[in-house]
Amino acid sequence: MKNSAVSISGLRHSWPGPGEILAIDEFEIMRGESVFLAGPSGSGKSTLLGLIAGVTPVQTGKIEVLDQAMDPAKPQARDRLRADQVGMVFQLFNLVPYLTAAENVRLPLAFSAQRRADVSASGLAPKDEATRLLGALGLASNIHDQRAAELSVGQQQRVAAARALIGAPGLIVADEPTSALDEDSRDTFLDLLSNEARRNEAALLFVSHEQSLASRFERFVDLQSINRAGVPA
Amino acid sequence: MNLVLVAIAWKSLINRGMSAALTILAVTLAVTLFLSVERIQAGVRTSFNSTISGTDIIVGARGGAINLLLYSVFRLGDPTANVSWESFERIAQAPGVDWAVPISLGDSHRGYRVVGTTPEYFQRYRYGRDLPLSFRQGRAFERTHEVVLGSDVARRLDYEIGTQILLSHGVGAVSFAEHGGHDFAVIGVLEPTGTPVDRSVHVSLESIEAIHIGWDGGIAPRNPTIATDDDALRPESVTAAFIGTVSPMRVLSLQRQINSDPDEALSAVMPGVALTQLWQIIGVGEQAFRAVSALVLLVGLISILTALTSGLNERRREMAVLRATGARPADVFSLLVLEASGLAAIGALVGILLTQLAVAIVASLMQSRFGLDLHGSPGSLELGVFFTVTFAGAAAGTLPAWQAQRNVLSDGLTNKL
Ligand SMILES: Nc1ncnc2c1ncn2[C@@H]1O[C@H](COP(=O)(O)OP(=O)(O)OP(=O)(O)O)[C@@H](O)[C@H]1O
Ligand SMILES: [Mg+2]
Repeated sequence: MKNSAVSISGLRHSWPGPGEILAIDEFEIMRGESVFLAGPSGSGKSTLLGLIAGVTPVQTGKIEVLDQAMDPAKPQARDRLRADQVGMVFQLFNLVPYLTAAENVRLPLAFSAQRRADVSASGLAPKDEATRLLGALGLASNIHDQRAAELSVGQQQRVAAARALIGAPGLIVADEPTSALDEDSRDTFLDLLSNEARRNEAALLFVSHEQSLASRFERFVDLQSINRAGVPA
Repeated sequence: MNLVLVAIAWKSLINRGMSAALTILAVTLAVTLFLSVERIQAGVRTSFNSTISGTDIIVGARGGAINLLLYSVFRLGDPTANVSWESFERIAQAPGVDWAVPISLGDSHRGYRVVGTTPEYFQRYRYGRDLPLSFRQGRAFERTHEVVLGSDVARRLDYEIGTQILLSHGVGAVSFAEHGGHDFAVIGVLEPTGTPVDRSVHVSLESIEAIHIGWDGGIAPRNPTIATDDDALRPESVTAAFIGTVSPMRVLSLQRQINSDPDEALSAVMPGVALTQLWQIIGVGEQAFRAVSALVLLVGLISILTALTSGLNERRREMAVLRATGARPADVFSLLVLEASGLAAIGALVGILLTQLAVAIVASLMQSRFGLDLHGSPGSLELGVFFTVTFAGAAAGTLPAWQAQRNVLSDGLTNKL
């Protein structure tokens, strides 16, 4: 068994409009490693995350997450792998608005037996694990039963982080989760997210164009350094 | 089925409060209308089919069963011929006959038919679930020139006990010849039954004879005589007779016997059979009603489809979020189908309860006023409507569900809105 959380080889991806966006020969993220991925707007960062999370099928090449292929021919297997192993946080609108914070956090458990099993192995009921995670991300308990639509953006992002972490998936991908936050809450958010990811021994792939945040991560990757697409030969 | 999805669907419905409530209302009204129409129709059918009950056979002159039923029970149309008093007595004494009540028609009072009969009529005539006639005021006639009114007659004409009335020869609304010199006194008024009895004026057979003494065809006598001698007032013929048998097993043989009477051409019909035949003719409107209320039900279901489809665009992000947390496209599909069936099921349930409530409120009024029996607890019809509507709601939900699932696949997990 290899020791990688994400392993990419010979990946190429084009969109109908802009044409070829990604051409990555080799790229690997180790288990438990935290990686900061930078790149200008439109360079294909979100596209890459979509491919890694198995939402966008791979066109050419190969992506493995926790040693399992994101097989373009098997959408259900990709859904399974994502449900079990990938926690995701986006820039905005991460939550189901009519569910409470705690319900949003528990959501992945509804779709993954593996993550349910992981929670029960910890000896905690799903409810208590959600409470624990929300607490660890600095959300006071009076907020837990509030509907997501009523939370501030900063609170919403922390709920999203707790949800990504529940059931200890092997990989957390975060697509500019801090860009809507002010500087203070951004720092707290980052600290809490990386602490919890480390505790779970989850790999963290963090995308942002704010390069000042890079120092908090083990590894800094500029997409343009691994991506040959668009670069004149 | 993922129980969490059911919970999510439920919360999503609650979240969309007003719009969900309006959709439910549409389904509720449609279901209520449908069930009410069914209820009323069933009530009309039963009350029609039990316009006369407890009578096993109706005897009249040879003719069609429906025609006999129409003039003897519904007091519509005219008999082709009469039944002789000898035949009536012969039948009344035939083995197996428990009782026989003759009726004599042909006169009227201000458009209401006069029924000449015996006082036994008031004990033997049954309607609905074997309900007897009862007197709201007064009593049955005991001698000539006494009259018992059906409830409608008394109410419409504003008559009460003691009112003096005249009868008219013939049955036109505006009759040409009055039975002058024969003042009748109202002696009794019946309770409403919802049957043609309500629109009948009842007198004794002797009264009928008495007012016709001296009549020659349609011409009134010069000097009306008032005879009270019983022998002189014995009728020569009656229009029809209601017969009760000692046992239901005698009915068929008695009917055959009367139909093949060697002395007079008679018809014997079983009122139940004739009523069913008649209903088949006049009950066609039933289907039209049912079709219209089924259409309304369809419109109610389409409102589910509209509500869910119009909400889809603003819910794209929500669906993408569910996908990101591990939901498969099939889960997104089930979520919307669950919401649709939830709307339908709640609407159906409320509609069923509303119908029950309405029935409970108006039933006794309908019973006393129109003789319509609407009572009854929800049964297989309601159960069937509940499941059909829920299932149809789910089916309607597959369209927006399919759309949402397609969106979810093409939207990916982009941050775009
Ligand atoms: N679903 C899609 N269909 C077609 N084109 C797409 C799609 N998603 C992205 N693109 C195109 O691919 C290119 C890269 O987009 P992407 O969102 O991956 O960039 P990004 O690096 O995440 O940019 P940003 O920093 O602004 O988020 C853009 O030109 C975009 O228009
Ligand atoms: Mg992006």
